[in-house]
Amino acid sequence: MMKNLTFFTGLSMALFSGFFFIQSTSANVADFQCVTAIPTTSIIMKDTDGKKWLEIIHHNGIQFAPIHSGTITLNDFDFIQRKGQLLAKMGEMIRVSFEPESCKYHEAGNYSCYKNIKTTIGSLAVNGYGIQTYSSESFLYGTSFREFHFKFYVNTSGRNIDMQMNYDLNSRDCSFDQF
Amino acid sequence: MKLITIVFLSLVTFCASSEPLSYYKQFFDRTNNVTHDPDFPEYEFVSAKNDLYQVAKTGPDNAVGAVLSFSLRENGTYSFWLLTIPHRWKNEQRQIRITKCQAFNGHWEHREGKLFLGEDLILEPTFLDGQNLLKPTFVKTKRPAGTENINITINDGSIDTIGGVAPDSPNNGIFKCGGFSLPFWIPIPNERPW
Repeated sequence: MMKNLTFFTGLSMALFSGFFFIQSTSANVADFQCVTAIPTTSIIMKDTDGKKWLEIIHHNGIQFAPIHSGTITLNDFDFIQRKGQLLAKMGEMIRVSFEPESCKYHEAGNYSCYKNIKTTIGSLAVNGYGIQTYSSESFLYGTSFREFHFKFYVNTSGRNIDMQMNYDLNSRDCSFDQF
Repeated sequence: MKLITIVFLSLVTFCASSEPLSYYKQFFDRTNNVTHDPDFPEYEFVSAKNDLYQVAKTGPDNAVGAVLSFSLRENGTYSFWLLTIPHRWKNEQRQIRITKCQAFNGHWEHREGKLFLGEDLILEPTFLDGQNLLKPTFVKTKRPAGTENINITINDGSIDTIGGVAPDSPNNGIFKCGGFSLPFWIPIPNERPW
């Protein structure tokens, strides 16, 4: 129980600090879209009416929404289940917006946006939300595998929870518009 | 001579579309041993499916793609699902619409050298590029509009979970379609090869 709490608090603090103290210096976040070959969870980031609109769509229903990425131990199941139940409240389709000035381009594939706002996403009351993305390349037996990692996080009841989706750039899951 | 040719061609046609049950068993669900190191055994689950979803042009700026995935089992049951993905190009942007997949479950029957999947689909043998394959004929299940000219063939390959169904799921392998149709188009990379 204590370990769970520590894990939970640690994760929350790590994300919470990023959530409220990211300083935006640039609004040059590219529009991007990621859709797996056979659609699973898609993300669409686009400019409309001077705002950055983000859509997240779980095509196969909320039961197939990604709720965790990373190392899992037996001790984490309870936490992940509770996290999954909270994330499920946001529904199969999420549509949120960011002010362009709260988005930051760090380097190719590495973006972040945040918004501090008390609102409701689906049926989940949140104090704010944000995204972080980065790309990576790994090698297996000399073959290069490139991925785009997308994380959407929300602050609810004072703690941050996130869902992460990884896209295969070798299979051209994503496109990034020129900016 | 003409008669011999006709008899020969008839025989070839008959042989190409009529196979014993053993032919179809190569497409049944199974676990393949893919061990490279005898100290570390590895297995993969294999089931029948069409290779990648194929996209057929239906107009200057439109196309449609179709995906079929199967679970054909030794115990006489089958499951398959069909997903169609309409494509369009607008302002040089490639877009797709997500439709809900259709799932079918029932008992297969081998007769006349063919595999009848209830009244949904008939599978017949075909041979292409040195491979034994299956060719589906849609009966009660409607062939997706616009795909009439796609030569849909089915082989087998490793599969985990696609389209919201897991062939080796604990639900007795019954396929169900979750998800929903989207009323709007979503952009996909123009560079995608299919």
